[in-house]
Amino acid sequence: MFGGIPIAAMVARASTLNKLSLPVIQPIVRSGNPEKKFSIDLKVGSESPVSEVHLGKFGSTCEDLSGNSDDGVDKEGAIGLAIGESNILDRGSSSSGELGFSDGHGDSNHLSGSSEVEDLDDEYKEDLGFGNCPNATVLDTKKSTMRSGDLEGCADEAPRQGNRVPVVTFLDCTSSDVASEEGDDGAVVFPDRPVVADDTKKGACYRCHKRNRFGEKEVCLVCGAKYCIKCLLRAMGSMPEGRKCITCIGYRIDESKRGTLGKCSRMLKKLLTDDVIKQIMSSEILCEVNQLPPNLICVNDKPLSIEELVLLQSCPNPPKKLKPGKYWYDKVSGFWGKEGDKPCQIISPQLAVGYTIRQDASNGNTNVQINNREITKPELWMLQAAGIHCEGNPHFWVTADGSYQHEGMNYVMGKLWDKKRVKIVCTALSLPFPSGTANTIGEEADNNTDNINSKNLDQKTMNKLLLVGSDHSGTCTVFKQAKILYNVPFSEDERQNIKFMIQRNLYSYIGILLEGRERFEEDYLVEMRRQRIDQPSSSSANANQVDEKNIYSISPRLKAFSSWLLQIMMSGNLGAIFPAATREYAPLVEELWRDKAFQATYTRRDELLMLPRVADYFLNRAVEISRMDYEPCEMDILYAEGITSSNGVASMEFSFSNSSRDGYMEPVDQNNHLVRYQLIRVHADSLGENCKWLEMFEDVDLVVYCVSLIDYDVFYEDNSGVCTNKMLASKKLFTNIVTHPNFAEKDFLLILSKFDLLEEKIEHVPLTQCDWFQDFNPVISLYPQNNNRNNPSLAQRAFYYIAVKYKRLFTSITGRKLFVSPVTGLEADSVDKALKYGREILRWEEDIHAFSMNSTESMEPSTSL
Amino acid sequence: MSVAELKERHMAATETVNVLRDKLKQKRLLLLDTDVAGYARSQGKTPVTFGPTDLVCCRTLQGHTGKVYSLDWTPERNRIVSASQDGRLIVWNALTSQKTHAIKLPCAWVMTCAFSPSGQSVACGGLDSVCSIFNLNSQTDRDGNLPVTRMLSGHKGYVSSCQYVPDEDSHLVTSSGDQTCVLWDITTGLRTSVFGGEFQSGHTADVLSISINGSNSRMFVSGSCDSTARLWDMRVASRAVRTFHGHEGDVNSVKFFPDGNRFGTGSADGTCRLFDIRTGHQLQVYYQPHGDNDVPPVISIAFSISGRLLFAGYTNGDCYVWDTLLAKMVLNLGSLHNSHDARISCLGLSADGSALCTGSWDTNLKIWAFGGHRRVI
Repeated sequence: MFGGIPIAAMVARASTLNKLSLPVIQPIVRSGNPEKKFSIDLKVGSESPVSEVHLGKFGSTCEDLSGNSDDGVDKEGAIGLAIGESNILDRGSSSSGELGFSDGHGDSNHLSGSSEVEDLDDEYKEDLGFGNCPNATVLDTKKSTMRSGDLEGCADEAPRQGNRVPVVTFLDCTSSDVASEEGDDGAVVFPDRPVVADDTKKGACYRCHKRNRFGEKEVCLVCGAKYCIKCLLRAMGSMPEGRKCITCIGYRIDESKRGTLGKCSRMLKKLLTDDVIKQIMSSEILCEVNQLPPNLICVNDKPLSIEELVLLQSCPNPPKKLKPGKYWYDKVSGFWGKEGDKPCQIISPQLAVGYTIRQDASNGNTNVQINNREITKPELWMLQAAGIHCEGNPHFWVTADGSYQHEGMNYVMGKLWDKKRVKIVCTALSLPFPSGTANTIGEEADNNTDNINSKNLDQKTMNKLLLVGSDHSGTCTVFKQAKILYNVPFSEDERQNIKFMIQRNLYSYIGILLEGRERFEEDYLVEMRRQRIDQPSSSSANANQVDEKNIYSISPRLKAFSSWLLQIMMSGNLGAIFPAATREYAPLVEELWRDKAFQATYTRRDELLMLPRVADYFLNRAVEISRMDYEPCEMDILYAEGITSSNGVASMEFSFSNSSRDGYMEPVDQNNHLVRYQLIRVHADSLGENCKWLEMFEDVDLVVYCVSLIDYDVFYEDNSGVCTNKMLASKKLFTNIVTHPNFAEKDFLLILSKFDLLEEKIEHVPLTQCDWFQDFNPVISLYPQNNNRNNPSLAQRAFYYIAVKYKRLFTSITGRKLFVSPVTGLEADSVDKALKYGREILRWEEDIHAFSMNSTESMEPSTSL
Repeated sequence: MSVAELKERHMAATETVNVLRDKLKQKRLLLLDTDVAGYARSQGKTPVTFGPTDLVCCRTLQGHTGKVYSLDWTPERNRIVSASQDGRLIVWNALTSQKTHAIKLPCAWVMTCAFSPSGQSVACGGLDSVCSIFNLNSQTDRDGNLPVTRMLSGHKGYVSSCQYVPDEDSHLVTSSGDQTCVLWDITTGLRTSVFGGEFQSGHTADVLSISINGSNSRMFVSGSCDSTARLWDMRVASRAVRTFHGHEGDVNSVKFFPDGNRFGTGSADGTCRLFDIRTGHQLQVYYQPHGDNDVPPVISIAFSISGRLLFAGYTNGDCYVWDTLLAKMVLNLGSLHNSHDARISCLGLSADGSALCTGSWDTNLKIWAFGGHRRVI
């Protein structure tokens, strides 16, 4: 696709090439044989009649255009396009006449005229005069004319050289006709750029021509032009494909420079920031046009396809320093060598690459054959050194581990690589010897190609999971649990935030308890008074005693604190004051905690509906938590209510550890540990009901939707005062997401969280509290304690029921299946299981066509507990 | 007064408002004798024509690895900041297509970015509900990242759009998913005014876009999911100056007309509209019927420097160039052969009007320049 991208470079239309009188190097002409076209140019250029015609024509247009060219020239600095009217008049679309130069490269790209040339300065005219001259001369002239302008322009960012217009040039509309893709097997063929004739003196910069032997230079990967520190950025621009002249972008790199891919000079490092360098180098290594063109590599007479090349480079023991050329490959033993040459390496055997090996592949003349290949002299010496009798022109069969036998004999005569002398002889004859013991270790494989593969793999296999759910649906716990589970550390900031949050929450819990205490105190008083009325016999002194004895009353000091805290809570400023005030109030908390009235309240905490369940966990350690030096442990983090990191979105990258036991997992394949997952948690409520933000996640692979199982009896009042069931709200959000156009083809995994709480709740509150679950009427088991598969508990039935409800909803919308998994956020195992299930779903998707039939069956265990 | 009674009165009041609104609509229809296109035709205007070289892509800015979501030009016309899903802001020199800064963001889900009038700093906002300001001149840290100069936090929803107040580097307006717009004082990092919100007559759904009047920088207009656009006076935060009804879907994009008396909107109902801020009338609807029932929503709009052209990007990848006078689609940038491979998500005209920059989900930005006999329209 690279050739189709317009780049700041001149382009001429191929069909108009024959009109060209200037020998111009064509930068972007996608064709099978650019060299050929280039030579045609030259020929045309030197044919005097043609160029005469052209010159004449030019003269006339030049007059016509005298007016136009003026306004083109005057407009400096802007992104104006110097296209004269003549172009438009001239045959519409075929006019690609464009004068211009991207000022960054001074070597060859002055003009790409097609039918008309306009805006010619004197120097261009001069060039034109030389139109019939050999290429080098023209280039030379140009350079000499360029020099003066460039020198002044060097420091200036917006180039204004002489009277030339800095013109932003563009790929002409019509050039895509030329840029049609050619090539075998649909593979994209990137054109080879001819190396520019090197007429620059040694040590001089190709652009400014200043000589500085000792000044470092950066070399273009394609044409080999060298630039000094001043000209580099202008010559290479933003380097979208790494270090290439702007004109060279889109061209294959010079194979001899492949080794330097990704290794930039110190000069570049001086010039740009590390960040930018990193990006440029990564694009240099990864960009498609810089990859080794597979069809230039022949293995056993077969040009490789992309898949074969990848296979070859990703095997444990890949060929080193792979360059375009012809190779032979012995599939059985792993011998690898240049065609007509002795083996140079032993690579991984049994790769499905190339045709079968020819007998004369290594051009041997010894009449001895190994795996159908006639071996070379050095190999024969090696065999002899190994003590193998080679009389009678035997045919050997050598396998990868070195065991050899005569062809057609099922008898292993010995192991070649086990013989001590072989190693010495191999080194002496520069024959390959398998690395490591069993030819499996590829550590020393060419770093360069290895990097490419692993990086490519990385980018390809980043799977994105979107974790979303309404308020308090458990997304946060799942996210935090996953972080702990897959060893993604919490950053210092996050820990600090969590600490503050826990402390703030603690005060709010205390506040709730204190509020409860006030109520209990009053209740107690009322109760006492009633008792006193009921028992009028008791004396008034007694009554006073009762007041004093009230176990819920606290000391005035604590009372002051209590009313202050409650006041803050009423005004909703708790977040503003704590945790800043933590230091001041920590001792008070301690005192309060020891107070028996407070403890008495604490024992009755079940009656305080406002108090969240997790409060227990923290209140027990109130004294510890309120200290300044408190550091939350992992459990604390898990239990903490609220959002860990930034308001709306949090994300983490992780990969599944291999060691864990998977229930329904097939043997983990080799690349598995490379597969990275990104879990993105979105807090739906803070992002608005219109789901505008969903568009941002259009590229996720799996949507994990969280629903809290205990939401069925929770109601909340929205802004307009309408009371809504949270389960129904959750259902609505789910529908919104599923019906979002960007998510039409996405897979969904429904996580039903808080199963442990459901088990408690369902005993007291019937599921039918929610309108959606009206028809839940399970057959109640007679023996509830008999909790096995045949006789699931009420909570399990409820879970199945809710799962089915959601599945039906999903199917009615999309016609596909919804995956469901139960989760108890606080249990690491269940989160692990759910996320691994998510991974399974993604894998299924990959080969869904292969066994789409089976998937329905494997659906069943999906809802199992 | 009991709650039930209050609710009843609220219902009645809502009813009255709706009736009045309907009446207003009727009245407007009566008053509106013609639209821009009709008048222009009667004056014998002809639509702008585009030759193949009149608007051409002259640069492709490659460097992002994720979908480009937003872009902005500096007033001094040759620099662009772009925001992408790869979690980076890139500052480009549009003339040389070089990257001058690549800023890694703390939150990758960025929706908007803006250049300050002086070109010294850039602002961005996204799903983290924070508008972050980066000073381009500040020192990079150890990892080569530019540190956040100022975090403007206070929104309770995603930041959908931000724009600096013209000629003031210290003030910025943001719009957010929490149904409000906010004027910020960057030097203090505090909110100067909040437009809309719970107790005010603001938008009733996510605000998606804002545009500040170029000729009177105290006025700005906002577009929202409640399918209205509202005009605000920065000095009067309590209520909107005017509410513009008409769209039948989310107003995804608003942009002031260069003369400052009109503004354009792009909506999920597939239309662009032109409103007059003085009369409140809708002047023109720009809609291109498609063969099928599929109506692609408008994502982003931009006016040419004279206002004669309206560029509108659609979700299906089209990018129409409308002649605003005759309401005629004169060019489809999306179908040009060297155009983007994916939908065009953001559009911006350089300050002198000589170039258009488009950002796309294909991770590239392209610069289009007017060529031929006209340089600027």
